[in-house]
Amino acid sequence: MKAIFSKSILLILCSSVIVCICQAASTIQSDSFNLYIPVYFFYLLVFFVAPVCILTWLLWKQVKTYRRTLLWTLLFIYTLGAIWDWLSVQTGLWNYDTADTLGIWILGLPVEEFVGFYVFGTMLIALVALYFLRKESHV
Amino acid sequence: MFEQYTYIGYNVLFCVPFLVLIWSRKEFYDILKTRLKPIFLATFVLTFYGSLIWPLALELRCWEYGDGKITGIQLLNFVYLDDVVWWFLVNFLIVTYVCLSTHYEKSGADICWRELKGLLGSFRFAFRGLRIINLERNSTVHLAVATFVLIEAVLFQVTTMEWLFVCVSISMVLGFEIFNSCLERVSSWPQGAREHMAEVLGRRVSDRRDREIGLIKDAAASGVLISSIAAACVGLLIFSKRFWSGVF
Repeated sequence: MKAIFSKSILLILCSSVIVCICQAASTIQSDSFNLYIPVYFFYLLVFFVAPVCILTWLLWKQVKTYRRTLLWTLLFIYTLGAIWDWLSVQTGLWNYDTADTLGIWILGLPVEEFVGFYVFGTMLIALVALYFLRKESHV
Repeated sequence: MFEQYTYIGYNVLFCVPFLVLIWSRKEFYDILKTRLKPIFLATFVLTFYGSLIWPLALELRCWEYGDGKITGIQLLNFVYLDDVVWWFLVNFLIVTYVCLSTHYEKSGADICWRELKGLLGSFRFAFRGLRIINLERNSTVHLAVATFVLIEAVLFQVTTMEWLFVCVSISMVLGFEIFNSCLERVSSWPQGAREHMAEVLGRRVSDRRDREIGLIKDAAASGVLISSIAAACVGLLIFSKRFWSGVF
């Protein structure tokens, strides 16, 4: 418990530092240097990829035991989530026109959405669920 | 009129049916109800996390919402209500699934694979059962009429609405006919069994059962007759005018 708490604090600190860097980078981009920074990519890196890495490290035993659950969840998100996202863009519910992306687009969606959001977003939710279920699952 | 509810509508559309699919099944509900605390705890923690980080994404212009597609209600002047609903429903769905799947995976079972296999098996049996159509005279008559109507519909280039009625009528008649065939096969005596049952049950009981079975079979046939008359009316309404103008 103590280890998890200290690792969580470390995660929050790291995230804060990266957010500050992102904010600073976006300011530089808009002001003087005209430097292109894929802000969405960094956003996903900080708020999804970093927590997923930490949680995978913390819950490695559960991840290994329940890898089928995680794979099925990813499969559902890749099918249902992609349809939902595509439909939302087509109907104008949201768009990525203003986003500073990596510039690779698939079916009108930035590649960050497929790699960053679908994989790591889903993993984050599944891992937090595994964290809270660790007593019930007895792994 | 309800354009501002597009976002919330999509959330409900893509999440609630799956939640109903999981939570309404007794087998799954019995497992999930023992784990309500971690499910809701994980859902609320993730919803809170999402509500904190989503406004930042909008601030950084990672994406933007279409005009008038969201309610625009902001909670604590910070996060859109629509986003909170998104996080809550998506988290609740995924956490529920993870909770259920881990329960089965712990005992070595793959719940998704099991359910998919069962579902595909049901389809396989259902398609195999279609062979009953060519075992009964009346079914083949209905099948022939359906083919005739379908060819007519193609030739006369009926409208989408008319196609709708044609398809519903055909499926209704054939469906009732199949049910009727099943009922007849279940209730009919196998060859030579009638005398044996009369010996076992007694002649009076056996006769009474015959009368009851007769009524059931007649009632099932009446169901087919009613659906056939309705289908004939649909056919007349759709095709009679076209026949009339074609002939004269």
